[in-house]
Amino acid sequence: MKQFQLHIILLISFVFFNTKLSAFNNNNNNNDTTKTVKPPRHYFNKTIYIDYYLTGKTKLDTTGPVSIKLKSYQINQFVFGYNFPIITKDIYNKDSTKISNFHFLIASNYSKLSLNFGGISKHELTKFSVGCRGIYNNGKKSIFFAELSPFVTKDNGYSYTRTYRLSCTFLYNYAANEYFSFRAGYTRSFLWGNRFQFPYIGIRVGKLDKTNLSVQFPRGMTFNVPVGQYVQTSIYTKPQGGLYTVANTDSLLNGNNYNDNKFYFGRYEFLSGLRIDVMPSKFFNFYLSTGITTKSNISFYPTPKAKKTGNAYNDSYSKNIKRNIFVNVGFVFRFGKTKSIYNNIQMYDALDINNTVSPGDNNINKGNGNIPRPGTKVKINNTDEVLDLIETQDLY
Amino acid sequence: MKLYFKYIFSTLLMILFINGVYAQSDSKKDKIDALRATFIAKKVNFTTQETQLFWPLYNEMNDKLDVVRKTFRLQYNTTTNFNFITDKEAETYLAAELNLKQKEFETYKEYYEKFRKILPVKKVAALRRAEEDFKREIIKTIKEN
Repeated sequence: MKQFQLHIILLISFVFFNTKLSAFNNNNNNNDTTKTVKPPRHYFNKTIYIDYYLTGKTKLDTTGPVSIKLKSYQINQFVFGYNFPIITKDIYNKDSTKISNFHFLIASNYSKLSLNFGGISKHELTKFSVGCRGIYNNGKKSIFFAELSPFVTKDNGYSYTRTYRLSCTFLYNYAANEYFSFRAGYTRSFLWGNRFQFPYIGIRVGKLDKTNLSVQFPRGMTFNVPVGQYVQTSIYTKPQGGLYTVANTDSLLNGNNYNDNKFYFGRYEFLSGLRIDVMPSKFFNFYLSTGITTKSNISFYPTPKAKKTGNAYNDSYSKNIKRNIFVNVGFVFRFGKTKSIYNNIQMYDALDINNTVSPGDNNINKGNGNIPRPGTKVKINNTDEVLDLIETQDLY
Repeated sequence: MKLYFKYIFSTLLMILFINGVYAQSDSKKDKIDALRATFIAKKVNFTTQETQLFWPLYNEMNDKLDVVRKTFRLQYNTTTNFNFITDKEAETYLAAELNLKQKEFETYKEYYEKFRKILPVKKVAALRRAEEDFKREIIKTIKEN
């Protein structure tokens, strides 16, 4: 019930934030001749998204006492997240012929992982993150991206399992031209079911709004093929996972050296599948994806031991999970007017980074629904729709 | 669990509604702008460096023009009664119309000067021609419909 209230509060605050309380503003006077249209302030839309992910049930083998106790493994995950641009600053060179810009965004999400082991009680592991990200586009070929994403994770119903963690990503993106970009950086991530620090290396070949291949280690690899104006299909492979804290209510970790009432649970699935993105407008897109979890693993890490290690945790139980199917579906909503970015290669890359580097270390790809597709024939029935383009003399 | 799905469903509906209101107003304009950008990119043969410098400026120019035109339309649009009752109303309208043209002209002038600094003048001329050709394409589309 508490979560439900939290969601409602989040939703209402979003609506108020978005409408700027205009419903309560009595100063709107339609006869005011000094009224002007405000130019858009940001390049990034306010974005909210919902993602649901489900794997099939897998029977665990019976080679150890823990596996025997657990019996089977299945998860489903719900994620609700948003990112809002807060500051956008255009910076011009001396003769105003080059525009570089800086963007500061708040990125937050809430995720709930339902952990279903057949032999023990169900655990609901939540994760809530409020982070921020800064993007600097130098107006030529370089983009710098930095994100700090602190989050708190806990086993629902067991407040003593609350654990604070920090993931972060620092990237440099070099857009050589519209067909090729290169990324290098550093990421501190829990995606692989443990606390890891990775170098970030990525390349993209092909235009972002057309067919392209993007390899981004350690985030994944995608081959995107647009089908018509509004649909994009992708073949991809990527890790999905996390590190959580679970209440040791089922005495999964026992023994002479273990006396804590909680332990860390790490999981990852290496997903390989097909995804379809439908992008009817820049304000909305949704995706549906399915495939196989080609490599999966679960691990339990005892907390007292963990405190003695500085980096990755040492596990006391680790099990590779057999292949299974997964289903992933997501809805992305974008709000607000933004500055135009048609054919702006650097901003396309900046948008791509913002869409693919998921806040809260969830590795959710929101899809590039806000990158303009190449224009095709438009049906115009009413001259009012193109009034600004046409002068009377054009009709002679 | 039922409550959970009810909540998701109502959230989705609410978001769709708010989103729909936003999306409606600009979708046609976005399509036309995207079409124009594609048309110009095809007609004017930009190098990679020119592409990187030109499009941010061109987009900025169009955003500024858009603000000027929309501000004018807030006061004078298809719902306006142009049979003015007083001379003052007529004069206000003429002043607003002239102000619009003046601001459009100043914006074009400012940005065409900038384009000349980053593009060869022949390409600036080709850009102007491409814009005109695009208008003709649009008129052709309207006639076909």
